[in-house]
Amino acid sequence: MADRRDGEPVGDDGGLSPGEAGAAARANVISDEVRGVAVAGLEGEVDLSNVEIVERRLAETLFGERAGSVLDLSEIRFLDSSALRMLLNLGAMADEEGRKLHLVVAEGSFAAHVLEVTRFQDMLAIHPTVERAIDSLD
Amino acid sequence: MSSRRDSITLELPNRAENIATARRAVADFAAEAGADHRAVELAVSEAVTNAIVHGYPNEGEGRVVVDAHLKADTLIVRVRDDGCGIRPNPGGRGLGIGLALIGRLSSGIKIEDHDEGGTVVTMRFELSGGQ
Repeated sequence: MADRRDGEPVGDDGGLSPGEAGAAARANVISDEVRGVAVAGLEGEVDLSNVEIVERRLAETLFGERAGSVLDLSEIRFLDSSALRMLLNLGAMADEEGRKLHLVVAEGSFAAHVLEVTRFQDMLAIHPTVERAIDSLD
Repeated sequence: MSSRRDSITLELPNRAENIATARRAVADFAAEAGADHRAVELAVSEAVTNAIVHGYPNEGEGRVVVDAHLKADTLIVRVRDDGCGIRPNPGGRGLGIGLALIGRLSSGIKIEDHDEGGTVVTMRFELSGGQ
C-alpha cells in the first residue's frame, strides 16, 4: 500500500516555478513510499524556467536510505529537452549511489511522446506502471 | 459561428518564465488550425529556449518575438530574438538537441540571421497532422 507522505509544491507561486503565477511552468513533486521504494510523482510542466528546482527536489525525494528509486512521469503535462537532461542527471546520481532510476511512463502520455521523438526510451529504464517498476526491483 | 484566427504574435521579454506563455499560445493556435499541437508546443518551447539561452548568453535584457500564421495547409511559426545569434554554448543548460528535435517535430526548419541583428527560426507544420 502506498504511503503518500506529501505533495510538495515549491516556488513563489506555490508550484515549482520561479515566475509569475499562471504564466511560467509549474510542477509538483508527490512523494510516496511503496514497498520500501521511494516513488516520486511529477505533475505539471518542466522547462528551462523551473528545471533546476525540480531536479533538486526530485533528488531529495528519490535518493537516500530507501531501497530503490521510481520516478512516475505519467501525470506530467509538458517536458522539454532541459527536462530530459534532468532525467539523465538523476540517472547519473542513481548510478553514483549504486542504484538505478526507474521511470514510469504511461502509454500515450506527453512524456511517452517526448521520449519516443528523442529516442530516449532506449536509454532509460521505463515501465508502464509504478507496480511494474517496483516489481523489477525485486 | 466561430471564426478561426489567421495569425498570432507575441512579444515577450527574454526571460525563461515566458517560454511557457509562448508555447501555450502557439499550441492553442495550432490546435484550432488542426496541426499536431503537441509537436508544435514542444518545438516552440525548444526554439524560444534557444533564443533565450543562445541569443542572450550573458542574460542581458532583450525580447523574443513569436508569430504564427497559416499559409495554405501549413502552419508557419517564427521565433525571433534580437540577441547575438546562435553560437556554440558549451555551458548551456539543455541537451544541445533543441534544433535537432525541432527538425524531427516539424516538416521544415530554417535558421537565418536577421537584418537588424539576432536570429530567426522558422518552423513549418502540416495541418493534416492535427489531432
